Amino acid sequence: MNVGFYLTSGDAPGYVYADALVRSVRAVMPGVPVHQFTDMTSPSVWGIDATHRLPAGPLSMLRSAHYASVEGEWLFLDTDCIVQRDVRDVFDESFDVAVTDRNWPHVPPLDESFTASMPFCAGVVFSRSPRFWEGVNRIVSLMPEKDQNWFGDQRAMCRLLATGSYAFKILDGSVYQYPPESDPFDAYSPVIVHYKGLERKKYLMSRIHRELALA
Amino acid sequence: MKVPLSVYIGYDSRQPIAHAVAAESVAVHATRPVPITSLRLNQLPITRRGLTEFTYSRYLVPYLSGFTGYSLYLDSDTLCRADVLDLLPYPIAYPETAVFVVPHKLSFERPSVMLFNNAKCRMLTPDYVQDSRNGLANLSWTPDIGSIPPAWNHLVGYDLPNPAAKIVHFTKGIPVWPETKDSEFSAEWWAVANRLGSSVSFQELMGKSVHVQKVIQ
Repeated sequence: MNVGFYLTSGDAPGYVYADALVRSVRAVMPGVPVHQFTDMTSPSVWGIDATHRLPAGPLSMLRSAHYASVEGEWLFLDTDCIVQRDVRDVFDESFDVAVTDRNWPHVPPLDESFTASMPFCAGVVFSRSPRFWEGVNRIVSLMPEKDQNWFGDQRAMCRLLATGSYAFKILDGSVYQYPPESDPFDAYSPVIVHYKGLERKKYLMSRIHRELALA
Repeated sequence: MKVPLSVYIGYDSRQPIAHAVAAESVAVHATRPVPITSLRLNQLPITRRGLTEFTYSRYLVPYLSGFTGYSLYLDSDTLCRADVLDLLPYPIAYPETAVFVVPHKLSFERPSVMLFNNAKCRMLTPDYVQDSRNGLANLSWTPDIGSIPPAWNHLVGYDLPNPAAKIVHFTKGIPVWPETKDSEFSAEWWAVANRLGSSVSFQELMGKSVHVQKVIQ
């Protein structure tokens, strides 16, 4: 399995988060290669195994193009994730793509139309199908520019999965993509924590400072 | 693995070769199995017909698809040169759009290739399609019409020659007549038609079959 994350220099704080992400992967899955997907000029995060570069483009276009360019078993993560346990056994099962649901009972409910159009969150995705991401990329290429520059790939991912043309597995979001509501959060220990949204970035920074102090 | 696109091709009993070539060309270029259905008027719940037997039956495609998934309709006088599954990103990117066509200036040509988002076309019931008061070709039955690139309905004899055409539409007639034999893509159409009528030798195909002795006797 490989771990990959998308990060360009336009997201400066992302370098701080990605550093913590990489350290978390090293801690729980030593030997698993970590890759950065980026444009032609953005710096690489220190300590990663490989940097994949493609010409700059809208966020969702470039990210899905990267995901479509790699073969094998991949865990694609947002930079604001922390991996807390080994997840390689997810690939013991057969699927093209494994996504997480939004089973987050501790979080205030999201707008129903939002969750209906995007029932899965693309911050954590297990994939062994470049072809699936080619499809996502082609759908995003037809979307309005604002979608291409934001979460068009997540929207396209959900819609392509809904066609039933790819084998996919749904993972429990409270386990594989847990959005904490505080730092530190309660004793419950999810596999992957996702500090999505502005408020949770404060929790992530708090955690980074705390763990660096202990290191 | 489910293929979320089905293909329907108009059928006119006066010219079965047209349908056969169109269907074969779709199947040959598809990268995954795609169901292909003939629109034969005598099998359908309407009797309404126009210049061809499929003038109106094409609008039954969403109904015949159970108003689910995506369906591509083609006139019989077409030749497909690309993977029809390449059209799928359009309805997925624009899920509120009911039907996608090439927006030709010749508006009556637009319905000759239609990509339906079937769930958005529930108004196209057999009763509605049968009713002669409903003009269907102007697509006025929906306000949600999307566009696909011109290569997906290349009008031979009207559009400028395009070697990259994906669906060739011999709207002035398939190249079986002296009047149309020199049309753009005529040779490609004939290559498919000839292949449909061809076979390897008896020995090559049946030589190792259990039936050989019976045939020789």
